[in-house]
Amino acid sequence: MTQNTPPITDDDLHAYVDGVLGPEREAIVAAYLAQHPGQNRRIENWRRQRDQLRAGLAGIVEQPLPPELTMAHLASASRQRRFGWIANHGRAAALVLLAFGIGASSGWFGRADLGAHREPAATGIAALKLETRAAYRIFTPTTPTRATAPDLAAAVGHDFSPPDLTASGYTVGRIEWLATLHGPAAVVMYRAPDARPLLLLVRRMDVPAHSDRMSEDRHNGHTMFTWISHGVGFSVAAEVEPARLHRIANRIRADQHAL
Amino acid sequence: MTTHDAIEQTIPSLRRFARALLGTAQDADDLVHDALVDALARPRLGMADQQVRPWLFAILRNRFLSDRRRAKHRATTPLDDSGGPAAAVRPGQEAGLQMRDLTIGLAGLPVEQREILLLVTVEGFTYAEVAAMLDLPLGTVMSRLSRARDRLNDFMDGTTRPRLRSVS
Repeated sequence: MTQNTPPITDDDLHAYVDGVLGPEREAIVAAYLAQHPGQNRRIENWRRQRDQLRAGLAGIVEQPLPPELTMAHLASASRQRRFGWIANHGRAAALVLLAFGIGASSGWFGRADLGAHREPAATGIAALKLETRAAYRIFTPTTPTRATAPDLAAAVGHDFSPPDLTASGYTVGRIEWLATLHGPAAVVMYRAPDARPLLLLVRRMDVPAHSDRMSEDRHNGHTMFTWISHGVGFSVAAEVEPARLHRIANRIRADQHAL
Repeated sequence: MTTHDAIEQTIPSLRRFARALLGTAQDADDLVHDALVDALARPRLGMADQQVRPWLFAILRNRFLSDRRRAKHRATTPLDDSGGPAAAVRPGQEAGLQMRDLTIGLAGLPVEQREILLLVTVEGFTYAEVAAMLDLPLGTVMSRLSRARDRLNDFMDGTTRPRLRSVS
């Protein structure tokens, strides 16, 4: 050992047994152990414990899963719990949407005000609680600030990529998360050189819905088309001529059908 | 791979961890079930596949602790005497007596040492992952790991070996 080598610590011995030391340090620890039979015996015992624990517990991972631990069963148990919560907080609450990161950075979402379906929604602190609850279910320290196409697919729950709208003059600007009371939604913002941004919101619907009839709404200068396809809800909103947006919505819906 | 697939692939090792923590198969599967329902009710977005496993283990472990607290609070069956992890490890054909001692030794470790030993040695998590998962400083993880390993060594060497209980 050279003078500059940091002294061997217990942490080194663990890292040695667990095989996570760099090659250089590993060689130093190995040399140390060769000269210290007591410590060497100690780590040999650690190794033996580990091997025996692994061997003794190995059988469990090979066993077939009981029915209550299959994904289908778990998903329905979890859905029941979620619906129970929504039912307790009233149907109106389900309409509250929470925008994260979008308004602040672009100013666009705030104006479009897709969350304006305020009919009998919760207000004041009740709304704040619901929104926090929705966000808590979704955002973690590891949630990226900017979503990617696979994130979008995860939010929607099946293979889904942002529809290609280049034929209509729109390209994907960014993809963002939205925390809704019905779980995660993905928001794709499209840009066009000649028009204001177009926003597509996609999320899994939590009620079995079969109708993919499109509905049209107008709000403060923007138009919105909304429909449900294969249990996934879609809406597009933009400040463009309604007929143009309708064509775009139709194209997106047709592409989804083709999948 | 979707998050769904990543969760599904983690279930067998969650069962293993729960069994080693709790002992009995039924309790362990109940714990895995409750933890997964917790997890699915709180979908986390943008999670890379390799983050799914530590996330699920953390949920399971938190659920284990809160169940345990609740059970203690209700003062029903003392958990440490209800079989414990001893029953979790089946003695292998060649492992024999030493294996049996190891399982008794494992059962004798305090939960906070047992969980770290299992997460590192059996489940193969890195020290940093375990620290993040359990919300502990890395130094605490290392010192608990060290105590767990030495305590198990002492036990196996017979230094602090209590009278052997029979394991059925």
